[in-house]
Amino acid sequence: MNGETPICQAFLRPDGGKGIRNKILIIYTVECSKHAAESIARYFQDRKKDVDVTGSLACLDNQAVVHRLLAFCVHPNVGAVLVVGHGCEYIEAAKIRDFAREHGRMAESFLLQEVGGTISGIELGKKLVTEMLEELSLTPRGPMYRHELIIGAKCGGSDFTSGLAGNAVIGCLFERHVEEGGTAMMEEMAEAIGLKKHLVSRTANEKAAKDIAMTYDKTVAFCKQLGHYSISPGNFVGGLTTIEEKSMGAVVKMGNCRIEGVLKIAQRPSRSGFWILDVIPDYAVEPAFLYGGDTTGLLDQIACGCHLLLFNTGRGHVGGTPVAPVLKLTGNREVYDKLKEDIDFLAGSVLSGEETKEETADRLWGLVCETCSGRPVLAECVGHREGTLFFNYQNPRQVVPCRY
Amino acid sequence: MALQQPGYVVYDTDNVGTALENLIPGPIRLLGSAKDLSACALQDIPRGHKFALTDIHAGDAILKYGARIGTATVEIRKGAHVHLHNMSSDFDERSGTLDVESAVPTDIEYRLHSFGEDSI
Repeated sequence: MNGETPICQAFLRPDGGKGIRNKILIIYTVECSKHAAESIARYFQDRKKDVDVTGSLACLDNQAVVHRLLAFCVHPNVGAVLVVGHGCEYIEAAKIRDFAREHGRMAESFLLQEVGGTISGIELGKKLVTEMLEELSLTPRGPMYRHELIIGAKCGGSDFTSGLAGNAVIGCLFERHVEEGGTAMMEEMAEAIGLKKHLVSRTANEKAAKDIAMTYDKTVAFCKQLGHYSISPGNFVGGLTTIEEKSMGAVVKMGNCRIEGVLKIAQRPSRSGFWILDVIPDYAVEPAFLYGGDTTGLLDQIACGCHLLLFNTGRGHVGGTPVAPVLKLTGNREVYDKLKEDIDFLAGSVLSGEETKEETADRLWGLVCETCSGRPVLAECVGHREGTLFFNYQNPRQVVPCRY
Repeated sequence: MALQQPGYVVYDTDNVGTALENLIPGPIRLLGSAKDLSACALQDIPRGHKFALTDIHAGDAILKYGARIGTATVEIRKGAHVHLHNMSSDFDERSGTLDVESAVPTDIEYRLHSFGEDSI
C-alpha cells in the first residue's frame, strides 16, 4: 500500500508470518513433564528472556488442545519451540515438533523417560533453549502494516463501565482497523444472549448469517444445559443485573463492523475483516469442559492468529497470556488508579465527557502500535502467563448444529 | 546359565503367557503357574507382550490372572503374539484404533485449518 506507514518493524518468519514478539515457546505434553518445562522456562525468564510455557495437563489427548498447541507453535510471535514430553502420554511431542519445523520454526523435543529423567531433562532443555536464543537473535526484521495485524478483544471482570466506555472504545478502534484493511475478532457468544437478530443483521454475507444463527442457538442450548450463564459475582456487585444487560454491553466491542464469518478454535481467518470466534463445544458439555475463565477465550483467539489482545475490565483484571501480549484497559477511573501495576490504559474519559470515544480510540491505537514495536504490556512486565488449556469438542473446520 | 526364551504364566487357567525377554521363534521356557504347559513361539514376541498358550478362536475370551482381559478378534494359533492386532477390550473402543505397534492414536489430526478450507 503506497505511502502507508508501517506500524512496526516485525520479526519475519520463514512461512511469511510477521510477529510483534520473538518468543521461544516451551510446551509440556502432560502434567508429568510440566515441572521440567517450567523449570527450563523460569531459568530464562529470570534472565529477562522472552520464553513462554504452556501445555496439556491431561494424559488423555483432546483434539482442541492439540490444535491450540500446533497453532501456538506457528504463531507469528513465536520463533522457536521446545516440546518436553514424559513418554507414555497420548499427545505426541515429536509430531508437534515436526509440525513446527514444517512451518519454518526451529523446534526440538525430548521425552524425560528417554533422556534420563528430570534433572537431565532440565539441563538438556537449558542447553537447547540457549542455542535457540542465539539463533533467534538473528531473526530478520521488516515493516509490518496495519492490514497484516490481527487484533482480538475480550472483556473480563465487567462492570457498568464496560459497555459504556471500555468496549465502546474498542468498538471504535475495530471499526477504523477493519476499514483500513486490518483483521479483528472477538468471541464471547455466551455474552450475546438475547441478541440473535442483532448479530444476524450485522453479518457481511449469507454464510455468516447462517453460521451466527446456528452458533447462537448452540450457545443458548449450552448455557441452558450447564445451568450457568457467563456472568459472575463481580459483575453483579459492579452493577450488572442480567446476562442480557451484560450481553448488550459486550457486543458494543464490535462497533459497526460487519461480521465476515464464524471461526472455530485454532482456525485462521482467510481474509481481513471482523470475525466472531465460537469457543462453545459442539457435542459434549461434559466431562472436563470448564469454559468460564477469561484466559480460555484469550488463548483461543491467540490460536486463531491474534498478534495482540485488547482486554477491557471493569472490576480490574491482572491476567496475561503466553504467545501474545494482553493490553488491559478499563473505563473505571477508581479501578485504574488502584491497579496501576496491571492495567495499561484508562478509557474513562468517555464517561466524563472529556474525550469522545473516537479520541480515546486514537490514543489506544497509539498504545497498540507501541506494543507492536516492543513496548511490554504490564502483564508482560509482571510475568502473567496464564496458559491452562481445557478440553473442548468441536468440528474444527466449520459451524455445525449442536448435538446436545 | 542364563534362561533362554523365558515366559511367565500367572494362573494355570490362563490362555496367554507373558514374554520376559524378547522372544524369537522357537521353544519358550515357561515359569510361574505353567505346570505341564509347553510353548513354542511362532514369531518374534516383544518383551512384556503376550503369546497364546493354546489355539484361541475368534470371539473367545482371553484369560490372564484367571480373569477375562478381552476377546480374540480373529483366530489365534498357539504360540502366536497376542496384542492389539488380534484381541480387543470388551469396554474400550478407542484402544482398538491405536497403531498396533506404536500405540500412537490414529484419530487425532496434527494439522491446522484456515477458514473456508474443506468447506462444502
